[in-house]
Amino acid sequence: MNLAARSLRVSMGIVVWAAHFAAIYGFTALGCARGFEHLVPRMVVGASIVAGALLLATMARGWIGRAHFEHWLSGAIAAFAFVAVVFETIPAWAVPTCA
Amino acid sequence: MPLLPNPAPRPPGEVDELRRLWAAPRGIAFLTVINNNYVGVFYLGAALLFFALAGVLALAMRLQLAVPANDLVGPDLYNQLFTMHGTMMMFLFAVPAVEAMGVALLPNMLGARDLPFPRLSAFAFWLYFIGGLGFFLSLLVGWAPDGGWFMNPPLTDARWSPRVNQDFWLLGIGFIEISAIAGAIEILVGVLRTRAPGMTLARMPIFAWAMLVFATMIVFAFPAVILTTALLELQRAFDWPFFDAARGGDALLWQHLFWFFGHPEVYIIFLPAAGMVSMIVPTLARRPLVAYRLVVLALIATGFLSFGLWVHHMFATGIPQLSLAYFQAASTAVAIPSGIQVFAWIATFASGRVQWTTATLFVLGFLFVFVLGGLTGVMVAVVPFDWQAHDTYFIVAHLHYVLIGGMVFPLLAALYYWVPFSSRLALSERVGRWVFALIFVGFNVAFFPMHVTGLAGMPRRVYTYPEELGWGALNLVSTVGAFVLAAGIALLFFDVARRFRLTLEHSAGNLWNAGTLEWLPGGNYSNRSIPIVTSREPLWDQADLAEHVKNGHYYLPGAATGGRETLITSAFDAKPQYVLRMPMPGWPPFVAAVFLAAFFLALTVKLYPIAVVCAAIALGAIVHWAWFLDPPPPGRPVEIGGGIVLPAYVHGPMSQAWWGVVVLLLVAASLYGSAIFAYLYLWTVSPQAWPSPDALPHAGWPLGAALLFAAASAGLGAANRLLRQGRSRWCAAALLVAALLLAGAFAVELLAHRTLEPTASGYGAAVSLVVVLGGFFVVVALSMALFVVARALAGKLDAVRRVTFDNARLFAHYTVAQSLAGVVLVHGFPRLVG
Repeated sequence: MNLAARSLRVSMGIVVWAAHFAAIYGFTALGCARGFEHLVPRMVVGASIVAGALLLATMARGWIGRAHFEHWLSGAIAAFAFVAVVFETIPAWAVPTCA
Repeated sequence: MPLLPNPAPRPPGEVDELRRLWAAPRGIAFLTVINNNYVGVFYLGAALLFFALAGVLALAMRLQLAVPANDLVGPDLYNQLFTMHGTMMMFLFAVPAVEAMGVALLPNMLGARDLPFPRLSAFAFWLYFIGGLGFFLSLLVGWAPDGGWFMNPPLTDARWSPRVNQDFWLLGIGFIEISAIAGAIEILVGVLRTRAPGMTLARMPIFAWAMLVFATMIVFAFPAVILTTALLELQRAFDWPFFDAARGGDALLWQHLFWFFGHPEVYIIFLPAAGMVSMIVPTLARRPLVAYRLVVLALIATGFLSFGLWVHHMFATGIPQLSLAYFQAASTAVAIPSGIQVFAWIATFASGRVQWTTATLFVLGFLFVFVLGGLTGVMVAVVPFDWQAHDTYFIVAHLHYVLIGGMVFPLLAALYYWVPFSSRLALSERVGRWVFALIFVGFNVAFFPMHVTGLAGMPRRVYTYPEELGWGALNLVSTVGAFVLAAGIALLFFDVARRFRLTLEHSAGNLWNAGTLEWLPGGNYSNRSIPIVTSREPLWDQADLAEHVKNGHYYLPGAATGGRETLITSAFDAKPQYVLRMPMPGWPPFVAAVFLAAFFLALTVKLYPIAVVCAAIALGAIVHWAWFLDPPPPGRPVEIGGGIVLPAYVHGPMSQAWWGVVVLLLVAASLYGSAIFAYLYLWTVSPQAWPSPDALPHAGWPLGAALLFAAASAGLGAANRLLRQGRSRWCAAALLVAALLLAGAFAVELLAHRTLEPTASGYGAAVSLVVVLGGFFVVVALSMALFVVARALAGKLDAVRRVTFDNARLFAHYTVAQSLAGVVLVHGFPRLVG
C-alpha cells in the first residue's frame, strides 16, 4: 500500500469527524439564516448516520488488524471520532435550533 | 536488518572529521550557526527573555490592581500592558518555547544528525527574535497595541483605533506566525523522515508524536490568523469593509477566524508540554509509560477535536443555541483525551520507583494545577455557566491555571530534566526545591483568589475598581502571590545563568538514567553513528547501545559524502532511503531574516522607502540562498554500513524538498480555505450585498480564465516530459510559456472584475480578497518559474538534478487548482444561489 493510502487510512476518523462537524455547523448556520430551521435536526441526524457508519467500518477494520500499531491507531481514532460525533449529535434532539 | 552494520574498528580521524564539519562558526560568523542544537537553545533563550519581559508587565498590572482606586498606571497604559502581556506570552513565549524544545531535542531523540532544513530553523529564529524585540520596543514609545490580545474589531478598526498601535499587532504578529510555520515545516518533515532505522511509528518517542501533532495543528490553524490579520489591515489601510456591518461586513467574522486559530493554539502549546511530561515521567518512575498507545491516541484526538471548539470563546455573541451546543459537546468531549494522559502519568508514577528530583516536583505541580484548570474548563464549556462567568476574573483564573499549569510547569520540569543533555552542569537541585516552592505557592496564591474575584463580579481588563465593591483584599492577595511567583522565576534565571554552559560533547549526560536516544553520547554532529532502534526505550533495552554508537558500529559512522549529512528514512517504517547532504552555515538565512523583520517594522510605521530597501535586501538574500539549494548530484552512491548502499541525491516524492513543499501547500490551502470561509460567511450574514446573476461578469470571462489555467497546467506537464528526456532548455521554454499562461489567466480574471469596488460592500471586499490572494500565488509561481529558467540557462538543471523544477511545478499545479476553485466560487456561486 502506498504512502498516501496508508496516511488516509490512519486519518480516516479525523476526516470523517471534520466533514461531519463542518456539515452540521454549516446546516445549522444556513438553516437559521435562511429560514429552513425545521429541516436542520433531520439533516444533522442524517449526516450523523452517514458519519457513524463510516466510522464503524473503520473501527471494524482497525480491530481486525489491531496487532499492527497502524491498524490499531486507525481504529482507535475512528472510535474516538465516533464518540465525538455522538456527543455532537445529541443536542439536535435536546436544544431548540435557532433560539 | 543486521544488528551491527559496521562491527569492525573504525579508521582513526573519523570523529575529528565529524567534529570539524559540524563545528559552530567562530567570531561574528557565529550568527550564521544553523545547527539545530544551537538554534534550539537560542530559541529557548529568546522565549524565556520574552517570558520575563511579559512577566514584568504582569507585575505592573498587579501593582495597579493591588488596592482600589489606584492611580499608578493610567487606563491607556494599562490597555497596552494587558494587550502586550497576553500577546507576548502567547506568541513570543509559549509557541516559540515549545517549538524550541522540539528543534533542540528532536535531532538527537530521533537519532538524526540534524533536522532536514536547518537553515529554515535559523531563518525562523532570527525573524522571530528581531521581530519580537521590535514589537516589544513599541511599548517604550507608547505605540504598543491596546485592543486586547484578540484584537476584536470594531474596537480595533481605523475608526475607533486610528493610531499605529493596532498595526504593530497586525503586522508584527502576522510575520511572527510565518516564523512559527517555518519551524513547523521543519519539525513535521523531520519527525516523519529523519528517524533512526527501526524507529517505526509504534516505537516513536511520545514527544516526537506530540511535536508531529503540534506541527500539523500549526499548519491548519495559523493560516486563519494570518488571513484575518490581513483582512483587518486591509480594512484599516484601504477601507475594505470585511468587519463593517453597515456595508455588509460582520465583526463576528474576525472572531470566527481568530478563534479558529486561537483555540487550537491552546493545545498547540499544551500538547508538546504533555509530550515532554510523557518523556520525563517514565524516566523518573524508572519504568515505561503506562498505556503508550492510548497516550498517542489522546494526543491525536486532542489535536483534531481542538478544531471543533472555537465557538466556545463566542458563547456570548448571539450565535444560535444549537450551534453553541455542538461546541459545548465538543468542549466537554476534549476532557476525555486529557483525562487519558493524566491517568497514564499517575499510573506510571504509581507503578514505578520514583526519583524525587526538582523535575518530579514540577510534574506533580503540573498535575495539580492543570487538573484544576481543566475542571474549571469543563465548567465554562457549559453555556449557561459561561454566560455568567464570561469576561470576568474567573476566566482569567481558568486560563492561567490551564496555560501556566499546562505549559509553564511542564516546561520548567523539562528545563531541569534536559539541561544536563546540553550543558556542562545540571541545574542545582537544592536551589530547584526553592524555585519550585516559590513558583507553586506564588502561583496558587496569585490565581486561586481570582476565581472568587470573578464570581464576585470583577470584569477583566479594568484598570481599577472602587473600594465599595469589596474586591480589594482578594486583589491584594493576588498581587502578593504574583511577586512570590516572580521571585521563583528570578531564582530560576539566576541558577540558569550560574550553571548552564552549552556543550554537547562534554555535557553532564544521562544523570536520570533515561531510555531514549537524546541521551546517547555525542557532539555537534549528534551521534557518531546512527543506531538501529528495536524498542521504545532503546537505552534500557538494547545492551551496549551507547558504546556501539560511540564506536561507530552503526550506520553512517563518518562523513561519507565529505560534508554534513543525515539519513532519510521512510515515514511509516523508518527504513533507510537515502543520504541527505546538509548545508554548511552561511549568511543568507540571517540576512534574509533581519531585513524581512526590518521590512515589516518599517511598513508598520509607514517608513516606505526604508521598507522597500529592506525588502530588496531580504529578497536578494533569499534568491542567493535558493540558488545553492540544489547541489549537483555526487558521482556515486554511499555505503552506510551493513552492505546498504544508498543514493545521496533523490528527487520527486521521496525527497525531503518535495515533502517540505507539500506541507507548505497544505498551509496555502488552509489560508485559501479561510478566505473561502470569509466569502461564504459574509454571504450568509448579508446576502443582499450579493449581485443577481445578470449583474455578474459575462460567463465568457470565467470560461476564458479557466481555459488558460488548464492550458498552464498542460504546459507544466509538457515541461516535465521534456526534462525527463534531458532537454532542459526546451523544458525551460515550456515552463516559461506555462507561467505566461498562468499570468494571462489571472489577467483575465482581474479584467472580469475591473468594475468591482472593494470598498463598496462586503461582497466587493470578499471577491477582491479571493482574486488578490489568487494573484499573490500567481506572482510566486511566476517568480519560481523564472528562477528555474535561470538555472536551466546556467546549466544547473537536467533530467537528474531537477529538485528546483519539481518544486516550481508542484507549486504551479497547486496555483492552477486553487485558481480554478476561486473562479468557480466567485462566478459560479452567485449564479447558483441567485
